[in-house]
Amino acid sequence: MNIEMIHIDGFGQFNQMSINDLQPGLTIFKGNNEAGKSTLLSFIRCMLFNFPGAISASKFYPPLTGGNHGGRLVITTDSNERCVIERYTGKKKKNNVRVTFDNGLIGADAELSKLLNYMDIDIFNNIYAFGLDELQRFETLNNEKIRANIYSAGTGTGRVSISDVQKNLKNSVEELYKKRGRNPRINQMISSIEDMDKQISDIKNDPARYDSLHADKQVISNTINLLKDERSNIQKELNHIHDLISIWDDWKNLQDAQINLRDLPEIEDFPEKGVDILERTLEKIRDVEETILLLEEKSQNNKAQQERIIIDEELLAQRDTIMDLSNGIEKYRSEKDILPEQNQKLKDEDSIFLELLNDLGPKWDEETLNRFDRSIPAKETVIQKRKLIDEVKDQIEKLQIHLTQVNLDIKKIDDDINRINENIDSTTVTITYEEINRKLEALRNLRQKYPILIEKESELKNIQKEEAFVTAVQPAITQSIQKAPIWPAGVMFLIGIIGFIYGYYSGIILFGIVIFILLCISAVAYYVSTKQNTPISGENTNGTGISQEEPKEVRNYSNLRQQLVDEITLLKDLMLNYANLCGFDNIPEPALLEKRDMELQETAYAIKELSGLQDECNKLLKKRDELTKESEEPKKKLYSKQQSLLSIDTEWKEWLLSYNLDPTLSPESILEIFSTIRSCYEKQKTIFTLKSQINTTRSSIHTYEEKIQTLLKQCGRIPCGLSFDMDLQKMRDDVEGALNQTQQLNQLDNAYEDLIRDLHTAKNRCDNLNIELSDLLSSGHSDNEDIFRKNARIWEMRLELHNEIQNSIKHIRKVSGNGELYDNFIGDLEKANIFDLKTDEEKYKDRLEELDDELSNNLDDRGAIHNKIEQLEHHEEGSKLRMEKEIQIEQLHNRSRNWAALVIAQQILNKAIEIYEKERQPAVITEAQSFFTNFTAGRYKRIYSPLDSADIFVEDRDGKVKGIDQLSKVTKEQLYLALRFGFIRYFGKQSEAIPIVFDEILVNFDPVRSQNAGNAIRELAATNQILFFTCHPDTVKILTHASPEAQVIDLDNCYEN
Amino acid sequence: MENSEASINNTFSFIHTADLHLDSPFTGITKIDPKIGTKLIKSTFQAYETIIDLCIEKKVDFLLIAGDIYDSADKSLYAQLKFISGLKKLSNAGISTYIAHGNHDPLNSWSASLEWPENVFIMNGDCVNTFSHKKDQTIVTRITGISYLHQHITSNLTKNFPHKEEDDPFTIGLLHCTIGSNTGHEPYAPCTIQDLKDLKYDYLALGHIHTTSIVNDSDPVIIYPGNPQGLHPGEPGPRGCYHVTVDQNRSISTEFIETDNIRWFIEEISIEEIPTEQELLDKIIDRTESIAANTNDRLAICRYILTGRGPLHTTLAKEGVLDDIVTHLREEEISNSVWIEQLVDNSRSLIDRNMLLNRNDFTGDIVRLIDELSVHERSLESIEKSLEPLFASTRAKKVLKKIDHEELPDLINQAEDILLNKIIIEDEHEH
Repeated sequence: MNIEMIHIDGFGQFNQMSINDLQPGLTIFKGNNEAGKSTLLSFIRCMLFNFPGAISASKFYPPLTGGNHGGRLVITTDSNERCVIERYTGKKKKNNVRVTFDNGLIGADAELSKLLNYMDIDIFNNIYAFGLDELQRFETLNNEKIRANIYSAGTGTGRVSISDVQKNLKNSVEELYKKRGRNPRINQMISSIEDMDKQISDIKNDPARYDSLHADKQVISNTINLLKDERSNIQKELNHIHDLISIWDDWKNLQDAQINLRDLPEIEDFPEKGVDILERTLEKIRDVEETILLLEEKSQNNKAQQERIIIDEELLAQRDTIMDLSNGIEKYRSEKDILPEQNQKLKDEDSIFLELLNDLGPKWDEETLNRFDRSIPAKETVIQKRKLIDEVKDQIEKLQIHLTQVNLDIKKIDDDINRINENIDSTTVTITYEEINRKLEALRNLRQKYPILIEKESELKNIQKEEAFVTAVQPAITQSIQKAPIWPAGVMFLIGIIGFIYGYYSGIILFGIVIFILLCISAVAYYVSTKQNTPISGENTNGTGISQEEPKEVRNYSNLRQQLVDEITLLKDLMLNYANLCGFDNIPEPALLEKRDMELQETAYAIKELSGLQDECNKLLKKRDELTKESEEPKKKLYSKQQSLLSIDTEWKEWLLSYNLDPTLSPESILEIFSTIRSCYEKQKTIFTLKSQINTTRSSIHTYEEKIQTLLKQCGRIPCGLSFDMDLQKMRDDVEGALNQTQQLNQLDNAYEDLIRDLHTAKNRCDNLNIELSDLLSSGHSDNEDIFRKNARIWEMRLELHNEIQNSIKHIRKVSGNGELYDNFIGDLEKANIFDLKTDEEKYKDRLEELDDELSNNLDDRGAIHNKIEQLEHHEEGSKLRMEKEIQIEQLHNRSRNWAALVIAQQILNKAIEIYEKERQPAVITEAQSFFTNFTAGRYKRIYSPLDSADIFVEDRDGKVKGIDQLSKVTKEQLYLALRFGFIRYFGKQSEAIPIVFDEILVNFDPVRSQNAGNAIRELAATNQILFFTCHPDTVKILTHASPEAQVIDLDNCYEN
Repeated sequence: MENSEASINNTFSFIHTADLHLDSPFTGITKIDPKIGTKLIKSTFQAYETIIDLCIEKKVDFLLIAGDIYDSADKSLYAQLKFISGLKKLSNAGISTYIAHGNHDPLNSWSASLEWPENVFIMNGDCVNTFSHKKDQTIVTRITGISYLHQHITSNLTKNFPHKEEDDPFTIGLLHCTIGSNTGHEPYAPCTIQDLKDLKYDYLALGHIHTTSIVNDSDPVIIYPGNPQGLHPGEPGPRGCYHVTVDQNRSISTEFIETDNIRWFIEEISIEEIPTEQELLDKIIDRTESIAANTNDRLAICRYILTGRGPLHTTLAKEGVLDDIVTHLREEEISNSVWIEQLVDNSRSLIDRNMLLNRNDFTGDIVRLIDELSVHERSLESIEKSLEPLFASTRAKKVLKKIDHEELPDLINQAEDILLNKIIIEDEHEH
């Protein structure tokens, strides 16, 4: 691509400025400072790649001298196609370009981009159109797209960043392991395993610890045993001392008692509790003597009492009699009380008896009463009679009730009949139901026929009219019509009526109606057919139907008319009959028909009602008759029963008379009499009983009194005069008194004997006690009580001391034991001293405490060891740790192999990069290398960039590698220029050669290098149009020297255009 | 040997076990959850208890333990006490125990404070012991053995065993030893089958080899019962002990009885025909369910090794993907009796390496460099050197297993995968 023409409309300092006839190859634009070189460079950039944003105002170059901001370029492509690129700023930044081709086609950004081989603006601005500023900064080559284009062309890995892969590998390696580090996985695992090892090694000491603990436990157990033994011994000693101390008082008592015992007089023996026995004996003796005195006194008293008692013997001899009589005294007294009552009762009974007799009748007395037959058969007869009479009466009553009811029913029926008759009488119906039906039937027929009549009359009129007409035209020829007989129609009609009536009365009215209708239709049809079949005939006197020939039409009409007339006549006759039947003189109008119909319906209803009433009346009459018949039988029965009752009554009267009873009495009365008579008999009996009782009572009283009198005499007593029972009572009391005295005497006697006996016994006892006393005293080695007592005291004392000695010995033995132990213990006691004992006691106590403490500590220690041993026995932690360690080791093994593979991969990659860096640099750099070598006159022979690195290194002719920072500023510029040239050269081979714009890029080059650069520019100009801007004449000279064919344009003069 | 009063008319039976390794941890596990962890910790004890219960259930006459009861390096007191507790149970049931200690549990490693129950007989360490086992007052068998006095016994201990005489009763040899060489085990007390045969014993109850094997099935019967519980991925399959019955004719019948409560399963799954992650999950789930169906109340620890080349490799190679898959599988709770321990990705990508080799760019350089690395000794040395910061560090050396030469090619392959995944994946994405 070459730019042929530049036209600036308005851009920075330029306004309507054109540069024409630009040539391919090198074009040098010379111009002083501020000539607009940079402006022109920017213009070209803007034309090709759009104006920069307003933000970068410095690059925007607004038209300072007027004109539209923009312009155009005329370019020629490598295929000699010419096009104009126009661009102006406006509202829209996008699509502000217009590309006009030779063939008239107009394009925009897309077409322009295509022309530029889709070149990126950065690439153009930094590689193709750049000034000194860009040249001096390496960052401009470091743009991602440039770098990508420069450096990745040779790896064959596409966009894969090898340096990323390298970094990635390095990271992976370092993530796994670093020589010094804690975070990498392998480092962590090693640390973890080391920790576990520590724990495991600690646990590995368990067996040794276990054995050691067991040994320690054994030692402590031995120590404990020793301590226990010592303690046991000391405890024994202490116990012994305690025993000695505890028994010391007893020991002392023993010794004292022994001394005291020696001092007391010897008494071999003494009765046990001798003094008590003595006292008791003396006491007993005293008691006995007192008893003796008492007994003697009592016996004397007894004697005296006996002498004072005197008994009535005579009375006593009659004692039994008196007692017997006394037993009967109550009876005597009660009899005496009862007797008046009995008398009174007798009196009352007598009066009642008399009253009962009066009840029976004035003629009734006792004799009569006795004579009366009150046997059961007689009574039964009365009862039977009564029963019979009651039965008959009952039957009679029932019959009467029944008859009464029947009569009532009959009366009721009569009332109903009367009522009905009244209703019937009030109903004035003079016509029968059949007649009403006939009238109704006739009415119906009339109703039916009426429309037919009207139709026929209408038809007749029509016929008449037509006939008249025809006749007017043709003479009418009369015709006589032979009439077929019509009587069959009437017969049929009558049969229909009969059938209807029959059906009505038979209850099959529907059948009747159907028959009637069928026959009516038949009759009508027949009638009509007779009319229609009558042959045409002329005048005929006999009516034989000889017809005369007439004109056909007239004949027809005439025939029809006649037919109709006949029909109408017949119909009218029929209807008249019906009307007459209905009570009309003539054929009525339909309205009248309806009215009549209603009347007839009402009448029919009334008749029906009347009929109903009559039926009801007949039913009632029938029922009445039945009831009347029904009442005949009961009446007969009633009469019979009444007759029966009369005969019974007669019999009864006769029976009464036979007993001299009032014949008017009824059986009930007689039964009452029986009852009274029975009562009389009972009274009689009662009176008799009472009388006998009174007699008995009197007799008893008398007897009793006599006995008492006799007794009094025998006892020599005088009656007191009050009553016999009082006398008897007194005697009885006296007898009882005598008896008591006797008893008393006997008691006294017995008591005296007892007293004497007791006295004797007491005396014996007293003697015995004295003997005992004497024995006791002698057993106590004394002959009197005082000595006895004294001896008793001595003996007691001796006993006490002896007991004391025994107790002390017992206590000592309890503590010491028996046998030799006791002797030893006594020996110890004899040697011992209480103070020393107490001192020893304290000493041993202290030692025991010490031993207890020591023992407790050792036991605690042993317990602790035991717990530790148990812990060790259950210590499973080691198993878990070992397993975890093995897992870690396995994981470490895997990771280490992963790490190893990564490290090997790293090595391989580095090697490959080395190869790459030596043998597979990007073509761009290879191209640049030759330019650089030229620029530097062979001082530097190699440029290379590490794989995917943005760094550039150069190698001088000595093989020394330098980075960019190690180069001088000018060499850097040359390097950057060489890189750009390399880029341009390389990509120029593959696509459209884009124009290059240099702006004062050789300013820092020395002459030799400038010359070399000029040569390089010339080389480049062979493929790309180069627009070189400079203000330095030397540069122009160098360039023109290197490229004599170069076009030189004086920018200062360009303004003229 | 003393003249016997042996009766040859009695039948007797015993359990033969060895290498209990009580309280030894599981190795080779990368992750566990607390519940599973508890089971693992208890597993050796559980297996031991199973043997004790078996002895009582089968009413055996005695139990033979041929060494390595626990690992003295762990110095687990708990293991020793638990062991004693089991023996007490047998003693209470009237069952004797005969023990010969091994390299892991030499005589000098046992606590002096243990209270050994009655009818527990331990072989001496300084000379061969013989115990006569009586049944109903009659000697039914003699048990001859020797314990390790200390850990490193490298002499042939069978040389000291007395030979069996003709009249001797049924004779059992009890020894912790290695038969032959190159067994993959430490060659403690090495001997040969012929050495054992020469003794003319009836039964050799050995220990030390953790995999069960009947070395000789008659004249004599020589058995390694193996360990009753596998402890790392290298010990998969059933583990147990032997129940041996000897009839009155001295005919021996042996029965292997499984006692392990946790079993390892190492399963390979090729990704070659598995295009998606979901299909891989489904396949793993199927395999897991199949394992779960046959666990018989055991816990199965599964490790799945992904192999082969497939498109899934790219996904699997991404950071955290394998862990996510494992986490997801565990969350699925496929079975309570299976624990998925880890997924090991040994798969490779589908990348055409030859095509890469032919590329004349950075990627091609990498592939060519890798090929050179694998070949040149100096390159391998330089790699080893580059790994020294970790593997030569004082701290890491104590806990980390050194990388040996055999591992390097695999590591180099992994490095290649890492690089190519990073470069080519994005490149493919780019294109």
